Amino acid sequence: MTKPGIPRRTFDAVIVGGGGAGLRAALQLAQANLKVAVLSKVFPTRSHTVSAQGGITAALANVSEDNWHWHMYDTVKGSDYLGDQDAIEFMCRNAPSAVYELEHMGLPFSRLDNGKIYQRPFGGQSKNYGGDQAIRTCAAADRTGHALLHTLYQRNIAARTQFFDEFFALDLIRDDDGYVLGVTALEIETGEAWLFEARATLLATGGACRIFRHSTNAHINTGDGLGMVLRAGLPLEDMEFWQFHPTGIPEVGSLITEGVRGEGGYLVNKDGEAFMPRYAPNAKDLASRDVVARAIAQEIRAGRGCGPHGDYVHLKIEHLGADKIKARLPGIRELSMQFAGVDPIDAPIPVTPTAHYMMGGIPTNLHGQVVAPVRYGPEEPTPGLYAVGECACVSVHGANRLGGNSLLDLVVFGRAAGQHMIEYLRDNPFPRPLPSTPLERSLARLARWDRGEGSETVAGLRAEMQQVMQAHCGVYRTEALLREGLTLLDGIEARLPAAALSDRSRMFNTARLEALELENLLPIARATLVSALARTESRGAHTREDHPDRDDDRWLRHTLYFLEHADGRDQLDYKPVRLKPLTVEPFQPRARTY
Amino acid sequence: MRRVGGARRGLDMWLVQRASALYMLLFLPVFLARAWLAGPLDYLVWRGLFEPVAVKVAVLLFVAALLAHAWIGLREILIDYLHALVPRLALYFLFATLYLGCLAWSVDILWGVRP
Amino acid sequence: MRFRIHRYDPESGAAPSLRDYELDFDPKGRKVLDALIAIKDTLDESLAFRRSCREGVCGSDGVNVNGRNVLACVTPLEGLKEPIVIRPLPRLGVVRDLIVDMAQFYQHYRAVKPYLINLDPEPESERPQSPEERAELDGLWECILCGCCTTSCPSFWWNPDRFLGPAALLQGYRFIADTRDQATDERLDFLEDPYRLFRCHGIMNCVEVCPKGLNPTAAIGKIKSLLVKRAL
Repeated sequence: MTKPGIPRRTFDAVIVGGGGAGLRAALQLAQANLKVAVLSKVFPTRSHTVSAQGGITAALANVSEDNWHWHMYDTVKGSDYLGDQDAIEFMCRNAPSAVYELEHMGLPFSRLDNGKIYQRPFGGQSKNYGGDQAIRTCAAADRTGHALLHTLYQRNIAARTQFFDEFFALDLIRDDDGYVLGVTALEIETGEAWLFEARATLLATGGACRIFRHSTNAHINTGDGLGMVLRAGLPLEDMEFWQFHPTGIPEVGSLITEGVRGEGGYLVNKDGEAFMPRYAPNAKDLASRDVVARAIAQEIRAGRGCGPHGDYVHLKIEHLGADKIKARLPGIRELSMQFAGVDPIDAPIPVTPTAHYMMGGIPTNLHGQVVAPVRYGPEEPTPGLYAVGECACVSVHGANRLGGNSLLDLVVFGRAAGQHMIEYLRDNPFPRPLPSTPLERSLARLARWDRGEGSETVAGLRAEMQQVMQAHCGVYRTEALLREGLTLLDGIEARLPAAALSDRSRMFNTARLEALELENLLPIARATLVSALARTESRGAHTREDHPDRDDDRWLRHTLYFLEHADGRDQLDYKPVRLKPLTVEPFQPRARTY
Repeated sequence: MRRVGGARRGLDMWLVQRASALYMLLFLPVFLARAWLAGPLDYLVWRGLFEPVAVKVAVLLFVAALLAHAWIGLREILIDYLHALVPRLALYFLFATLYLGCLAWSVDILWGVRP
Repeated sequence: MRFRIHRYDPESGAAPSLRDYELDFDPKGRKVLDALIAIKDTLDESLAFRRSCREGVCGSDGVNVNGRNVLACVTPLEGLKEPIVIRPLPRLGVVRDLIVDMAQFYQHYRAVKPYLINLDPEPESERPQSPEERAELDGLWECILCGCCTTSCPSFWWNPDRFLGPAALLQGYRFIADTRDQATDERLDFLEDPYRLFRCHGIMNCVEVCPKGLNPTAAIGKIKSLLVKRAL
């Protein structure tokens, strides 16, 4: 079996990732009195959920008339009709209860005068199927993610969830029948490999925007769960769709929430012109993120950008007044003073489109089960494996996510996955035997970095990859650009075997950690380029200048990307979009304007 | 290791420290002003200040407050810096004896003042 | 730029030491974390430190720079005296280089029961709270658990195992102050102890260093007044 001396722990369920999605699922399991372990490569409240700012969208109707059908319509339209409508219905329908549940857990939402949860306008949200701007996004000042993540961690403390902090998951353990039986992990502090055996495994490892040079994401967003899934022979879905947030601080990448525009801020170019009405006459600055990001990119291209290089635009909020800024946007003010050197009470904030969110990811159904084409259909559940949050592609965000829907995605599907895992564990009460050498591959991966002397460095290769992705896979894409990017990426991947670490110590070796992260990032970058090259249309966040129109006849379908080691390279497959909601009438694809 | 706590002593001590400080703060200026107004201070005048029983009680209270205040301060210092049980208990005992002695001595001095 | 960074490799058996680095780096608009990353990427891969969000909201990279506890990612390099001396947060055990063992800190956090306790049946919608009641929580819930305050507190240095420290006490008060919480008495009972709360002598080092501009001393003061109010 396993080698002696390798620590081995057994749980009912193992959750990889301590962000909002992982913690919400963990809570569901812990409250059902199951033995659940959460592995997180950082202390859970350092997860990237903490950086979410603006809010969580749910049709509570606290400020104005609202219902979840309208929210569903906006989400389907926002997704450029690529979102699966059954999952979107499930999410929007469950949104109010999920938010109330968070409030009951203690989340310190901002409040309206009548004592109800404060809601603010957000991009792409409308009343009555495309009518007036809806006020739907629930907020705790501009630190909603912080409030949500801390609240969920606190509830998990109360539920006595078992945490393994600073454990880096390496590989999934899968038997010959395809069952996932746990994970291998590296205890960062000691440098030891561990074996976590569980009848159900949930991946909640978050996004991977660190494939780009400039991103709003934390350093830790390296798509580790995606790498694990690819290595286990499972596909990734819709990897060509990356959201570029319209308002990131140039160079640094720090996010300036859409809530700023929700509270009344607006974008101006170097001539002082509020340009959004030209691009989105109705929604203006609160159009969908892909629309606003493209508008900013157009302004910059047309030479109307601000600053010495004309490479950003201004976000004005001075007119809101100091009191409102301090009460509603304190975090934004702090970030903008620290990273842009500007107090938004006095001067506009410089902003530029910045890689922000991965719409694609590990394909799942609305129970969080990881699905893949195996024998009988495109969506066969992989027994024992679940994924939720940004690492998963349910797909509720389709080709473009609406602001406020990501925190919602975490809690709705975190809860749903936890619930389904409880049922799965009840139906599968006995652990299956582990494969004979469950650790072999992980130990080989670790041993590979113990080798000395190489001509390449991890930091060097990573920087090159990020540069390539930034230059070749940004807001606007063309076949030539993508092809060139792929060639360059081939070159970088070919040099990876020549990379070596000078630091080969065991304990808290962060250099080795970064090497393992790079092994996850590179195939994600490849998946992105390959998927983007194949999709010859423009939809949502994927804008092909050589194919400027949406093509529903050919491309109303999801991309599936496999890493095929046997015949050398990668392989694409497709599956239909689920256009039929659970109970309501489908929303047929229409031209998308704001 | 099991840690027991919540003995309420934290608050009691904290309150006594503040209350004693308050008393000293009120008493001292009043007493000093009285001494100042009593004219040029020679031994007899000074001694005379302590003759009324009310003053004896007030001064005794002042000494008690001072000692309580000092005791708590000492305890804070020992809690912060001296963690070993035996020396800490020994110092507690030493200072308790010293302070109680001071208190008794003050009674003796004060009530030794007779017209 | 010149840096002097605390290095400790637990495997080598060598004593901790300060190592000098000379980095060719334009400090304009850059932060201490940018320099640490540049040193790791270009000069010395073996330098270990924690980092995540790089924008001051996750609390990973609390370190001591030129004698002051800060978050590396929001501390500008400009204006720092060279050589810039970077050490781990004081008093906690050092795991490696700039990485400290936060177990004690987290244990104190868990000890204050940092979660809402409300045993009433859950209503269909939210529990109402007025904006004024909610405003009581401002300055409390924003804590990022970076540990800058607690490790700058001498009372924590002397009694790290028994004094909860400013961060945990701030979180303790966050739930006492929440109108939805029903466990105020229980929480006060727990804190009414010579060590857990009353080691605080109000010297306000915590306020001085808090990277989020929070005021743990004020929160501790409010707990004390509640205790007094309850006792008298």
